[in-house]
Amino acid sequence: MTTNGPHATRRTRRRAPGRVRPLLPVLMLLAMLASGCEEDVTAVLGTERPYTLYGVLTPQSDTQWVRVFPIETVLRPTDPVPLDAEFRSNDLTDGSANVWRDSLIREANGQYAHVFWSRFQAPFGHRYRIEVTRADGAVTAVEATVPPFAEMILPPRTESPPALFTVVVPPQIPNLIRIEITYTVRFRADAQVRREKAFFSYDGRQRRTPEGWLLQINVAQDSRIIREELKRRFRLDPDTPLKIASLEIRMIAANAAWNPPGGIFDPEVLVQPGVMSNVRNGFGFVGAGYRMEETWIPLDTLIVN
Amino acid sequence: MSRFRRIRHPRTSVGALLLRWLLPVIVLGLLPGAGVRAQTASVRGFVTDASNGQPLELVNVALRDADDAFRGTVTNRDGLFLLQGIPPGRYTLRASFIGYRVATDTLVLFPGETRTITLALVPGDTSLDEVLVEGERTSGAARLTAGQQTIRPRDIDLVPTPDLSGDLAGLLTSLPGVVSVGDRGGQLFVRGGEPSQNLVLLDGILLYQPFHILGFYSAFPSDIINRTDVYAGGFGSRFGERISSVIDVTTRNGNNQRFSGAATLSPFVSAARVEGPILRNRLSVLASVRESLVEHGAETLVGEPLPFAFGDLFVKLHGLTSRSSRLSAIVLRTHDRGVLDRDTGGRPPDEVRWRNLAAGVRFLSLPSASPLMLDARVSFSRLPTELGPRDAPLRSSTIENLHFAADATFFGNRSDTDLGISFRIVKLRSRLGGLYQNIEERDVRLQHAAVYVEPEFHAGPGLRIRPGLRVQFFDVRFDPFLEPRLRLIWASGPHQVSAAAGIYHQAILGLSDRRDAASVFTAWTNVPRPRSDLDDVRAGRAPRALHGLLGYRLTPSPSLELSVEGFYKRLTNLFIAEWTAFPRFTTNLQPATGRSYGFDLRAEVRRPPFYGYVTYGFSITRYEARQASLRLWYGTEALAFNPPHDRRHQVNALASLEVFGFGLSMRWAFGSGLPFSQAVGFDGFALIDDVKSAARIPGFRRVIYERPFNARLPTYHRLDFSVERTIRFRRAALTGQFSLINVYDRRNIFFLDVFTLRRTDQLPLFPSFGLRLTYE
Repeated sequence: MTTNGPHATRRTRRRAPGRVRPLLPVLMLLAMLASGCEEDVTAVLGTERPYTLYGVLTPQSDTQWVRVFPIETVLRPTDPVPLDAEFRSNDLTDGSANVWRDSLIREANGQYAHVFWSRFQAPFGHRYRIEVTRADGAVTAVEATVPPFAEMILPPRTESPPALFTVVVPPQIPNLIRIEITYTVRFRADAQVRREKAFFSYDGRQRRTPEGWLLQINVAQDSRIIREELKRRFRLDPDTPLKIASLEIRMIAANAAWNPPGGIFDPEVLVQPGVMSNVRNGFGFVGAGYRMEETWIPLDTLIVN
Repeated sequence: MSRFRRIRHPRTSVGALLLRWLLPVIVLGLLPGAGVRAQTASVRGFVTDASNGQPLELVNVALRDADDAFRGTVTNRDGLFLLQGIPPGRYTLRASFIGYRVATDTLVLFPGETRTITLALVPGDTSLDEVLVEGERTSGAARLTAGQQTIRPRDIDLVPTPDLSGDLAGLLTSLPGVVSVGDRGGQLFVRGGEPSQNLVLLDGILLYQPFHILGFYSAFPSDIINRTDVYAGGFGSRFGERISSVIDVTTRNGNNQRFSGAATLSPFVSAARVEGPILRNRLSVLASVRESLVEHGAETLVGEPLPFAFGDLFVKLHGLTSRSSRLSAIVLRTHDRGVLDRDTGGRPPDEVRWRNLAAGVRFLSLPSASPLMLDARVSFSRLPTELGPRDAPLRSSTIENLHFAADATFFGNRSDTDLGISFRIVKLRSRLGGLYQNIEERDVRLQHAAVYVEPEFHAGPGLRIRPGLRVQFFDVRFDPFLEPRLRLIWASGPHQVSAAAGIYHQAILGLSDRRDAASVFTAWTNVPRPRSDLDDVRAGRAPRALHGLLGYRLTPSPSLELSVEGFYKRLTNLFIAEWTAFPRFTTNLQPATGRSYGFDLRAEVRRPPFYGYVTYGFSITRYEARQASLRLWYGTEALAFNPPHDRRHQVNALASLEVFGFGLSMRWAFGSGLPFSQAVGFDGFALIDDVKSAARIPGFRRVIYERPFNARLPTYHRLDFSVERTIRFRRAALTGQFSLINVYDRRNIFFLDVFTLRRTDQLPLFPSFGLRLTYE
């Protein structure tokens, strides 16, 4: 018994691969033939996510708008019929609800698109939950909080803007985007006084501190750039006085999710599904925010280079 | 310091390099020989077929003296031979070739004499007792030498096609390592390379898109071809400016003895060829014209619309300018138009059109001053391509070039040396637009120059080593691109081992959106110089490839040949269309690197009346792309994927048999599925970058992709069959052919539109027939 047992086992072990070995090529051939017979192709995997949403809730408008793209398995022009979707928003701060209505708009390329709208103002600091429900019950949802009201704090008005012009925004604002500075300059060229505007983007230059958002506008550097540009366009003499007539500061107080990678709104980057997206069970982005705008006018003083 | 400045001067750089690289070789090649030549003689000349004046390649030319001492050589592809360093005296010259009567002559050579002889061999008895310096057979499915395969017209004619005109395209697509994405479009990918990375030459003239829109056809009907050398990689220094492969087509000369011709008719094409002497023995003409009939003739056979039209015209004049020189001139015109994707969802289908115009003059000479062959060429070629309506194309791109080249071969006793110089002026003009795209216009003029040297050493019994260096100048930078090359062949009895390696660069880019197989429109563009004011991902980065090949061939019997060859290609500075979820053609580029490696197995049987071969190709092609946004999208710096031409397995089998006067031919092709990008679905995109109504923000359609090229299409396989019979009437012959393409009606996918996900299949089962009348 003790001697037969191991022998029997050994024989079994030897035979097992022998049985499998001739089967392997056959199995491989069958697998190849099976794959070779397959003619159909699964091109679209499909998804349970029903909708893609894009829009902004803002207290600066009495009507709110959100684009709704149904997620389809075929790319085809949108039919000019109402979308079979129920669109609701709930104000989670005060408990009110709104039903949105579908509207069809035409894109520049002639294609139709669905934009849902509801007539209400989104108050500062209120949190909203938007739900878009498909006929089969699938829900795409998004939550967005409108930033609280805030105003920019600018340096005191002086004869000329400081070389480093510091703007402070209260800390309760979750994010700042689209920071744009517009200088209006006056100068004399070709025996006449001219007025020109110069635009600078300060996106991504803001700094968050416990005291609030700090934005330092480098007026000295911007002035040099403006002077170079004017020199090129108007053959401005280097000694010609250049006066900053006004400094316009514009930005958007945005909710936290409204934060593109690197602070740059590059459509080639943002087009990829999932990038800057806050929509649940769907794709897209619904932001909340409002525009802030201040103009700083200096006392009547010339900037001497 | 001042010397350094002189070397850096752009106007002297080519000259300086010429001096640096070529002069020593010329000096080495000529000076030692000059002393010897004063004491010895040389014999050179051309060998032709007496019946038609065609140059005969691989003819054994031997000189024997009174002591029966032997000195021999073989003719090259121009039928040229050169024997030098021959002691003065009396010799018997013998020229022999299988299928021809031996030509003999008695020569008395004097010191310093250079004798030029033209030999015309008369077809007749086979001389098997001759000492063959080299095997007489150069072509064949398994006859692969360091990536090079030679194709003869008879190889082409064995492949079943829907008509009798015979075309190189049918055979090229059956080679392992050559991938075509479908039976239309005219795009060939060779061992991982892109179509625009293939160097296609017709008698040295660069052609940009010589393959017709219907995959059975190219600009090369077998009637005009003498031979075609396909280098799947590892090509020598003579070739440059492309990084993937070389398809080097050499055309026949017209019959310089008598007129002959052929006419072919089928539902697919009608073709005619005529050739003959303009001045007997001195000047001949060969003309071939083909015009497609598919649109009207084949639609009923195939059972679906075939909105394709194409044609080509080829004319060659060949003249003997003297006993030691030849002059030829060719003109080629092709035209193609067609719609690859008919179903465009209501929009008018995008028609793609292209035309090749190529012309060139070639002068071949044996100067009496030294033992060399001189091959000088001037050529011009142009390719305009358009997509969209004919009167207002959406996109257009034109590329043209004017090329001057001179190659010289110095013949030595133990080594030959090739060297050459090339100068090309390239003009690019493109206007790219589309449904979702801004119009972009470009107009560029470029100069490319190159010099090369490539000696071949017969280092020992059966061992040939061919190192080379190509010094390539592109506009992209001042410094030249150095391209060392090496080819090595060792043969002993039935065994042959071959290897090749090299570095290759390219400065012209052919840009296609490979996400869409139906997008055969290629925008030709260039690699610009780096500039501080230009933010261009291509700037200063000429695509580069490193090739390495190792092969073994066994010829156990005259009827059987087996070969295996492994290859590796490392590709850098590739530029591929940037990955985007916008459903559109894009000209935004992202840099990529690539690797392609694999092996071919080939077996060929020649046992008359049977001929057959089986080839298997395995390859992996993988690209790694870098794009700033990849980290955001996929969490990685680089995206590794298999591009849409990564065909992992390929099998091709051909069997041909002569039975009772009927020629039967059958070919089966199998290819594993090509990668494609599976979509999750489709939605839209709007850029939310401001506080404004969503109704005022423009929206765009979007594809929600899985990872790029994450899935594979179904496998491809097809069986083609043809039978033909020839009836002869004196000098005329009538051939009738019946063929079945896709015998078991396999539903092979041609492409899947990644935007609309519409499927377009390749041709279904269809019968065809053809007639061919020849007069010889």
